Amino acid sequence: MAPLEILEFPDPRLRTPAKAVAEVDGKLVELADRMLRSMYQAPGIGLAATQVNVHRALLVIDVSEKKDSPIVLINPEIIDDEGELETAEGCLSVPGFYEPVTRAEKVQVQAVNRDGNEFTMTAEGLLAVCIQHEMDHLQGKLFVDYLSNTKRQMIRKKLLKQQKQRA
Amino acid sequence: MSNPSNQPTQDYQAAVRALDRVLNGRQLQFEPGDSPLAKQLGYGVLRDYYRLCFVRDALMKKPLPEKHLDLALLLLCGLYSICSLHRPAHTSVNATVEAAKSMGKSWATGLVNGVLRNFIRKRSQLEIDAGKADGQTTTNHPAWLIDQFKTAWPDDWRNIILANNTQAPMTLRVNQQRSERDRYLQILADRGMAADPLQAPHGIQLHESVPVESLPGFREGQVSVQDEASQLIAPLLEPSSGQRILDACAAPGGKTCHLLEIEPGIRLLAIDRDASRLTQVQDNLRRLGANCETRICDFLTLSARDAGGLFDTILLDAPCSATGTIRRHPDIKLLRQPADIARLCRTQTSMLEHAWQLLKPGGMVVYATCSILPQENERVVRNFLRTRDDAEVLAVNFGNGAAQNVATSERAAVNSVAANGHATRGPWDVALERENNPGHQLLPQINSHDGFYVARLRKVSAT
Repeated sequence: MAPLEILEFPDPRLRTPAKAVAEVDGKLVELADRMLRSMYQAPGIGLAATQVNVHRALLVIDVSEKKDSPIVLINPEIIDDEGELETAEGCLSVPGFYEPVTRAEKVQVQAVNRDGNEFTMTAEGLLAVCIQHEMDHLQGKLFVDYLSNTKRQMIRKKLLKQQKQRA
Repeated sequence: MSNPSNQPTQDYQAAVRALDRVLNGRQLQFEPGDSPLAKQLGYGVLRDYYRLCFVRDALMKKPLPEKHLDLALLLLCGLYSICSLHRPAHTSVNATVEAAKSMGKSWATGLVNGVLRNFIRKRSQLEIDAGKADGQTTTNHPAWLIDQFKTAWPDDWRNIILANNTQAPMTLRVNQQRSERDRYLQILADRGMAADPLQAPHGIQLHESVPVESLPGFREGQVSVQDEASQLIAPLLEPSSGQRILDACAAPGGKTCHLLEIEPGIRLLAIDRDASRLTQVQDNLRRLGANCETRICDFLTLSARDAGGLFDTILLDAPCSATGTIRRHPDIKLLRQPADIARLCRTQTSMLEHAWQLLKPGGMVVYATCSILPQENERVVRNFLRTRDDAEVLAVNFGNGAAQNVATSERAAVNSVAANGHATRGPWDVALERENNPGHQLLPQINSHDGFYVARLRKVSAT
């Protein structure tokens, strides 16, 4: 099956807020699996449904080196956070750019898993950053929004040019 | 989110570190954590070094001072990346600029940005200019080495250059003690790894290079990575059970292991003067499940007594300019100096003479180098023969088709590259025979083997 198409900044569809998932059914699980495959192929460490133009609160993550620890988060919510951490972030929807962003160093997340069961998890470091980055997507927010206006415009221009060349 | 460790800045820095070593006269070497991109940049810049320098210098009003060598090298990485990496030019510019910042040279971001952007703008004109520039720029080789190639191979030097500037294929040697070529080809096919058998009887060439760890059965010793030319040498020793054989310059052990794969019953002594490199030999032996005596020892100081007597066969894979392997080691172009050749020839001559002292009457020395300069090869052997009356030249037969007659001056057709980019191969049509050449010279071929020289000499009773 072909990988899902990943929307690229400044595509306005990336700005659509996601709706909560009412019920975890076979179709949703299938979408999560396809998203994981597309994420591994990209290659990336996280992908939100928003990025593949499905506006439901679903995201997939795998920050492990061996790519053997996939996490599926449905209707995620951060219930606690702690500390600060600045890392260079990149995004599959903003290909080729890495910029420093400050996030919480540690988060506690409540979500529903692929079996439809609610659970909480704590994450720190890269995993915490990745969860926050993907959860931003579900609200229509991108990491470039944390950058200066000039920098965001520069990235926008370069990506538009590149998209035009491809078309 | 994309993986922050995919951020190319670090890769550029790693490539600059590696290149900096080479410019300071040391071998190209990467750190264990360096990424494939860093290696691609390092090797790529060296293959294209002289042309990239021309382009960089054309884009700058004055050259960077010596203390900013790292920036000068970073610019080459940026230019290479724009030219040869299939990714949008702006990502290359960004990564190069960011790398300048992380190198603590934020003042130079304007310069780096300017040079690379100018290059993108003026690229076609600059490439035309580079095509008309001096020999170093057009061939991507130092002038003295071009002169050497032209003198030695007036009809072939252009093909040598072309082959040297092309990435070498990944070739494997199947361990005949643990697998078979056909079986291993099937394993590769099942994994979706396209590969072809080579003329070397246990050789396989992969269509695409992969990290060695991802080769099926690599840890279990089913295969080794070895160029096809090197795979031709061990069979020329015709090892048979019980023979005493010396591998005089064994590291990293490719031929050592090959000998034991052909005939585990030989009594082999593998020596090398470099302790850390000898460890590689031991690692390889262990992985392949082979066994022989290894010893840290400078061959020239090895006496027959220390060695426990004379040998039936000696493999002298002598230290050399390695000019036949430039495509695998493009740093050679920058590291080798004209004066090295004469020094190497003296060592090679002493080693050949010393090997003779350690040889039983009737025994054989196989003299090999990965050089394509006749001074290190046929001239060393010819000069040796001139001083000895107890040496006889044996034909070099690669075990594939007719024996190569030493006396023939027939020059075989040089490989032509077919339209699909794969070299067409006849039975050793790539081998060149020259009048009075006591051995056999292979020249590096695009999508095929490295350059290599080999001669076989038998010790007969003096007349």
